[in-house]
Amino acid sequence: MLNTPRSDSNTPQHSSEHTPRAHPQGAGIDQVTSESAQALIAAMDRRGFLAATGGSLVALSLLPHLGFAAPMLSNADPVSIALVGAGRHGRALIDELQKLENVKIVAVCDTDQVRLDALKRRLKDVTGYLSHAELIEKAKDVTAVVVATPTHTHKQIVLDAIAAGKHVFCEAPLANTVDDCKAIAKAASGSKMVFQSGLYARSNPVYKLARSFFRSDSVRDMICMRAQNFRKQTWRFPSADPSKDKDNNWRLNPEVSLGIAGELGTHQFDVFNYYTGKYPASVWGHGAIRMYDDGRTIADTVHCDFQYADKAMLSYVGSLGNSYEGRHEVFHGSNAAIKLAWSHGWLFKESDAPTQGWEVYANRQQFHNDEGITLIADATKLASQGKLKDGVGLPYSPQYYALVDFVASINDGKAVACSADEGARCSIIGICAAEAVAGGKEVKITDELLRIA
Amino acid sequence: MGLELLALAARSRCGKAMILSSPIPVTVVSAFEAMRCRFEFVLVGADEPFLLAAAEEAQAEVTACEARLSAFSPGSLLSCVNREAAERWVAVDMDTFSLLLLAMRVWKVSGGGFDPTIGPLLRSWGLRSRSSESGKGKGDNAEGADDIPVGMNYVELDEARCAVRFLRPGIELDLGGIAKGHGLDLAAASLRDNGVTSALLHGGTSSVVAIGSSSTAYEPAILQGTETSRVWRVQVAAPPETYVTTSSDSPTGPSEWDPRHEDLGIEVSSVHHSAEDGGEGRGGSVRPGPLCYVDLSGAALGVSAPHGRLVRGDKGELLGHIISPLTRRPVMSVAAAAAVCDTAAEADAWSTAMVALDGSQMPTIAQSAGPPLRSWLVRPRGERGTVVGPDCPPGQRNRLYSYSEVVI
Repeated sequence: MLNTPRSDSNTPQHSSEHTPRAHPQGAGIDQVTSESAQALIAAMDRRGFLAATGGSLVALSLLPHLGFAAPMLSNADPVSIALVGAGRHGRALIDELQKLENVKIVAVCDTDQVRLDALKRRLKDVTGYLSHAELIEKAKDVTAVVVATPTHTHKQIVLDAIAAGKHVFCEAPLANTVDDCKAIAKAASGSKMVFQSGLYARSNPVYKLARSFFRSDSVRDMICMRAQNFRKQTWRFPSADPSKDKDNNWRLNPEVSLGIAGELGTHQFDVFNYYTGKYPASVWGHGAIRMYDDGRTIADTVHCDFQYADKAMLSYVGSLGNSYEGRHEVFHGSNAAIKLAWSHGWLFKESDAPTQGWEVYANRQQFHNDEGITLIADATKLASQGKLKDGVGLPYSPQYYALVDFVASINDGKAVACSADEGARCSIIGICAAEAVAGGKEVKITDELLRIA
Repeated sequence: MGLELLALAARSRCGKAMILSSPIPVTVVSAFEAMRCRFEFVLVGADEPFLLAAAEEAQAEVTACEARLSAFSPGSLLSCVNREAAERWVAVDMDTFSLLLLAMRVWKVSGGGFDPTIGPLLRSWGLRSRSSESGKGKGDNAEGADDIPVGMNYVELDEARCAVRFLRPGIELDLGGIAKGHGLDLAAASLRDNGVTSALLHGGTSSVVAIGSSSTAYEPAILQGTETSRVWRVQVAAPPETYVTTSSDSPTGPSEWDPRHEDLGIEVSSVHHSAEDGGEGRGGSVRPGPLCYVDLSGAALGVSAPHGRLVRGDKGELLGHIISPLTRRPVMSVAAAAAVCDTAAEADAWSTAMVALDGSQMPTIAQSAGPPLRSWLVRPRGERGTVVGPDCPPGQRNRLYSYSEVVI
C-alpha cells in the first residue's frame, strides 16, 4: 500500500512496504486525525459541537499548527531580497513578498528591458539589473535571491547565488535536465545558506491539513490517483522587442521546455510524492496539439500514466485548450477520496466508511451527486473566533505560504519546507514525464535516476 | 445602463482555429471573469498569436490587481492595509500608492463626493456583505450609519515611504469604485508596453479604456460630420426612468426590465439600438435608448448608475447601490453619470463622485478637477435633461455627446 511514512533519506522509495493502520474509529483515534477532525468542524455553534462530542476533542484542539492569519515572523532584521525573473510568475511572487513585514525587496533582474522597467515602476527604491551576474556582483546588500526565470536558466543563477553566499528560493522544476537538477542539489547541500525548492504543496495549509488525513489512513487502501491541469491559455508571451520573442516564449521551445507535464505537472507530481513518500517507477506519456495550430511543436494537451512499484497508478491530464475544473489532484481510497484544488480541499467519504462522529458537524459542499467535506485550515482557531466560514479556501495564495516558510528558515532556522534534494527528485520525475510525452513512450524512473549524491 | 460599442465586427476566438499572421488587420476578443464581472479586451493588429499573447498578459495584470485590491479576500494587500494601517504605516507597491493618491485627489476636489472609506457604510446598508449578494439591503434607516467613521481625512499617505496609515481605528479602504478602472489602466499599460496600438478594453461594461483607434470601426450615420473611422465609438444606454420589478419579496426576482440584470456597459456587437425608439432589451422588454455617445481614442470612460444593483428599503422601495458619502444615504437624485478622463481609474472615481453630487455643482467642480476630467455628463433622475460639460463641439474626440445633441 502507498500509505507509508515518507522517508527523508536520500534513497528514493519505490518499495511497497505495508504499514499497520491506525484504527480509524473510537477511542483509538490518533492525534493527527483528531486534530484534522477539529480542523474540519464547520459548525458555527461551537458549544453545540463540543456538547455533542462530549468534549473529547477539546484537548487535541489545542494543537493547531496551520497558519490561517498572516503569520507573524520573528523580529529579525528584514531579509533583503532580489527577484530574478520579472515575468508573470515573478510579479506574482513580488506581490506576495510585499505582504511580508520583515522582507525588503531591494533588486529585480530580467533580461527583457520592457519587463524589467514595468516591474521597477511598481516598486520603490529598487535597483534593476539586466543580468543575474551583474546583480550578484553589484547588489551586495542582497541576502536572498528568488529565482523565477525560465526553467533551463535556473542552474547558473542558482549556482552563482549560492557561490555568493545568498539564500535561494528556486521555482520548480529546478532545471530541465537531470544533470542540472543534481548539480543544483549538490550545490545546495554544500551551502550553509537556506535553499528552498518552490514546490508549493509543502507549504500550503490546506494541503498540509489534507495530508494529515491521508497519513492517518482516512482514505484507507489506495485505489488510484489522478490529477489534471486545465487552463485556457496560449502559453505565448508577447514581446515588444522581436529579438526577445524566442526567449520569452521558451515554453514553446522543445529544446528547453518540459511542456505541460514538466513545467506544470511537476508541482502536482510532488503532491503525490509528498503524501505517499513514494516515487513512480515509470511513466507513459503522449500529447497532441488540439487547440493552438500556430506552428508550435510542444503539445497543448498531454496525458501521462505513472506506475508505482506496488502497482499503484497515477493518471495525469493537462491542457491549454479548456479550463473546466482547472487544477486539482485526487486520491481515491477504499474509504474516501481526497480532492485538492490549490486553495481548497475536500474529503469524500464512501457510504460504507466508518464514521468518526465529527463528520455530521463538518461544512459540506455539493458536487453533482457527491458531497464533499470541506477541509478548513486552522478550523479550531477560526471557530473560536466565530469566523469558520471565512476559512473555506486559502486566504493567501500558496506562493505566500512558501515565501513565509523561506523567510522563516532564514530568520528563525525553521526546517526548509522543501529541500533541494526533494525538489531535484520531483523535477527529475517531471523531466521523465516530459520525455515520455514528447516521445509517446514509456520512460523508466529508476532509483539511480532519482538518487541525489 | 448599457454601453455599446457600435458595430465592431469582432471575431470571437471561440473554438479551434488556424492562427496566422496577416497583413490585413485582425481583431481578437479576449474575455474573462474578474472582480465579480466580465472583462472583455478587443485588440486589433496584424499578428493574431501576438495579440492573443498580449491579451493574456494584460488579463494577468487585471487578475493580479484584483488579488491586491479585493476587499473580499483576507489575503489581499488592501485587506492587510485595512487590518494594520490604524496601528502602523503599511508599505504598498507604487501602483497601489498612486491609486490611493488619485483617490485622495478626487475626494478633495469633489468635496467628498467620492470617498473610498465608505466600506463600513456600505456594509451598514447591506451592500458589502453576503446579504447584499442576494440584493437584500437593510433599508433606508441603516443602523448606526451616521456614526460610522468615514473620510479620507482619516487616511494619511507618505509618498517618501510609499506607505499608508489610518488616523483612527475603524477606517477601511474600499477601492471597489475604482479598482476595475485601475485594473484596466494596468492592462492598457501592459498592452502599450508590448506594442499594441489599437485596443478597446472594458470591465463590467462600466469602465472602458481605448488605445489608439479602430481601423475596423463601423461608420454609422448617427454623428454626422464626425470622423468615425479612427475612433472607438461607444454608446451609453439611458438609465430607466423608474426601478421596475414584479417581484413582491425580493428585488432579485423577475422583472419587466430589471436593470440589475443588465450589465453596466459595453457590448461588442454589430447591432445597435434605434436611437429614436429604444432597442429590444433582454426578454423582449423595452430598453431605453442611448444616453450619450463618446468617440474614445487614448482615453477612458467611466459610467456609474445607482440602478446597476438595487437593494430594497424597509418600506419595500428599491434603492440604488451607490451610497453618497455626503448624505450617507442611497443616491436618489441622479440616474446616471459618465466621465471621460485620461485613465479609467480617474473616470471611475469621477463618475462615482458625480452620482453623489448634484449635477448643478459639476461645472464648478470640473474646473477645479482640471485636465484629467476631459468630459462629463450627469442625468438627473426622473428628468430628461442632461448636464454635459465642458462644451463639446461635434467631431471632437473624447467628448461625451448627449442624445439630444446627436444629429440623426
